[in-house]
Amino acid sequence: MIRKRRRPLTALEIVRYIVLIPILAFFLAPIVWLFVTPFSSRPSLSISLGKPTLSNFVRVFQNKIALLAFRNSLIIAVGTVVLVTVAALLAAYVLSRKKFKGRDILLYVLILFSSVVTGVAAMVPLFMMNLKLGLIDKHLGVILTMSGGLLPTSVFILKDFIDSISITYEEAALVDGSTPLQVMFRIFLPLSSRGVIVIAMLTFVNAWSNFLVPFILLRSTTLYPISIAIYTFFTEIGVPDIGMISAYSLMYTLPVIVVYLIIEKRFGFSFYGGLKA
Amino acid sequence: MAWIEFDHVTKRFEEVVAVNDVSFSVEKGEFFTLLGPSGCGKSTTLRLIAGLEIPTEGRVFIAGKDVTFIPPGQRNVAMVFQNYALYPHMTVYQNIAYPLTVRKVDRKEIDQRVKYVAENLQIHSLLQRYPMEISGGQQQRVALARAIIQTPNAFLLDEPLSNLDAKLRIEARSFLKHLHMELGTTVVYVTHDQAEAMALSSRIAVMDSGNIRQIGTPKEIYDSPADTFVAGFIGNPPMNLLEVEIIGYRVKLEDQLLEVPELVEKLLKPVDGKVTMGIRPEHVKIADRGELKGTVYVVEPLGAEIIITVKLGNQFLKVLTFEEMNISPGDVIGLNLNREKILLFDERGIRIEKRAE
Repeated sequence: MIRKRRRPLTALEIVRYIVLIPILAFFLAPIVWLFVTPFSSRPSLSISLGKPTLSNFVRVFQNKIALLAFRNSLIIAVGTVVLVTVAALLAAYVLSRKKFKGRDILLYVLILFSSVVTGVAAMVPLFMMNLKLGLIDKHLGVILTMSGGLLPTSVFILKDFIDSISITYEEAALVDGSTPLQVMFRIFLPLSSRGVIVIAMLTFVNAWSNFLVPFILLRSTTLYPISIAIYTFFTEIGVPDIGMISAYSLMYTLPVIVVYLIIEKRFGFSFYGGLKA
Repeated sequence: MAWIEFDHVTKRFEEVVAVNDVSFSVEKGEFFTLLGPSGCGKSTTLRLIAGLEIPTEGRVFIAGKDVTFIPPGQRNVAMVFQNYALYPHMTVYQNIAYPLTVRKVDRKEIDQRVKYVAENLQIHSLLQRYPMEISGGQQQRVALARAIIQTPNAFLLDEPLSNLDAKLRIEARSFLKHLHMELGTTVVYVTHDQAEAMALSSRIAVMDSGNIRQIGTPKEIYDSPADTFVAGFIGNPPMNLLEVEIIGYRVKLEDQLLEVPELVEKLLKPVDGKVTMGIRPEHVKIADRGELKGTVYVVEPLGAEIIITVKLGNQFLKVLTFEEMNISPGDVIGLNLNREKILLFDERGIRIEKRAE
């Protein structure tokens, strides 16, 4: 057998690596920090393991607010996922399958408003609106506000996805004797499940990590989701407790990574239709 | 009463008239074909029968019942789509069983019927596969099986052969015809391929831009097309249509004259001046001392037959012959037309009727 001889690096390649390695290190460092610091006995802002320990996690589990925040984040994230996914699916279906006057303009307005009027710009009006509706300091207010922010993009993505599913499947099912509900549950939902999962995942990650909306709308510490609870981890003299923060951050990050891995493994992000994510 | 009936049906999409005041009836057990170029409204007509479209005006009847506003599922018709529309997330078995499953038929009966139909169509070995894992020809059989299992009032077939390659298409065509003879179920078939229509149909409706131009048996449509559109659409190669002038008992084609006293006498109305003369390529014979002279333009040997395009002045005439001939482009040849087969069309393109013998 002939061994492939390793080709010597060209000058260009060497320059390329010299440029790339610091960039890689720059982006990798925070991630390494996130996985190392929680287990460190002397946590600091630099990456050093010292003696491995689990004491940081023990302290997190002893903190009542920290544990309640997990529950709160879950309520908010799941609530938003359910609302956004169901509403976006229904809206996207109509926008994709029915032609009506002003449909394209409506879609443009959706995408425009969702990308222009967001976050900080809408802070005051959102607060006023929730105040008027009596939704301040309630999870429902947070869920509704975040859903409002996430819906336009979700509708847009799902509409594109549904466009790629041929309507003849639904028509064939109708002629084959199905009721409209049977078409929905036996044909359309299975075919669009991948698009729905993408939207659910995007929504989950967004809702799980959102800081601004719950920060504006929630007052009681017992209702805080993780993204805000993390700000309460200070020692008596006002110094951030880096050990706890890093341990908590890791716990906060893991569900998102796990969700992503499960879906990646099960679906591999290939679709019947044209959309790839 | 007819089995499927269209009573002055019009379908408009916004400003476009897809089907324009169409009336026809299909008898029970017939193989009825809607034939026409793309965009002529034939698919819309089929969708109107299926109930996937609701007419803007007019009524649709199936099996003696007014179904104009009845949803597709309750019309008891089975449709095969051009792309087959096999549900990709179901196995072949589940696909075939689907129409029975949603109608809540007993599971044991479903199993029996699926196996029976699959056996008949020779797809029983594929039942556990997914549609994406089987070939185009097999997919087509699965789509047919899904239609057959319903024992419907009618099969609606929307260009079911157009996704198959040429060789498979001929095979599937005979298979379809055999299947229709065996089942005896009414078929409404949509195609743009005139050969398919001729080979399969009991009757053909030729459509153009939302209107039916002619309804008749394949022979009627072939031998006596109602107008120049039908004449030019049917046949491969289609009928020759030549601009001529009738002067008394003679036809003037470019600068050549042809004596046709019998033809002119048989016409139901007197004709004088410019008309279109139609003659099928197989009714033109090449003869050394023919009545017409032309220059050979192209010779296309197709194995059994040869198509020769002849230039007569500024017009072209196609000749179909089964004889071996030593002719090459540029040769001047003589042509004889079979007088019995000459058709004349007036300035609007409508055929001028002849007296029956």
